[in-house]
Amino acid sequence: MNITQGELAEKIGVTRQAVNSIELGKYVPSTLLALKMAHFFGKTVEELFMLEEGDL
Amino acid sequence: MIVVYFSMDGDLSINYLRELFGMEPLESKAYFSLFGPNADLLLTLIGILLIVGGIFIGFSRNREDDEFIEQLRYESLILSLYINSGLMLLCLIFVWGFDFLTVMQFNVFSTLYVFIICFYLRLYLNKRSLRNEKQD
Repeated sequence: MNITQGELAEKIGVTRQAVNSIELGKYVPSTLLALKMAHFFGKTVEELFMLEEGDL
Repeated sequence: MIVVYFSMDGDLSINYLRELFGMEPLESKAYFSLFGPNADLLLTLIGILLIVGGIFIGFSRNREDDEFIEQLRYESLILSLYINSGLMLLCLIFVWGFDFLTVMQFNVFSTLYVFIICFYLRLYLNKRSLRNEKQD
């Protein structure tokens, strides 16, 4: 899917800063936002986000 | 506070005694108070405006606001508490006597305004890093 951060932000109703920070791993989105993103991409949340080694 | 006044300044303790016996204090001005015989209304109004205005500036929703900005706001609030506590610690150590009363006057507003500076600085830095990325 070819989409810019700005377009994604607009579609799921957040700022571009938020999308950018999520992509950079600086910000962990809320469950609601994660679900919205997954819904937008037609995937499950766990396909988009996963635990890192340090989180376990 | 009364004990402090007593021990630190003879003039003020006389005023306290005068007030105790229902007399007008000598040339004392209650700067931040709506009530009382010598309340300075202008300064009181400025104080009220500073606090109410600060709350609006710091906590009202921005044009662009979402959970990320909200998170930034809470983090800035905690950061500002640390910074303010540090400043007050320094003032406690290095400011003596009646100068400390001035510090306390500033302290009435400082937490709020340190927070506002922190928040908008972090918002600005975030936006700037986003701008830089666009150019790449």
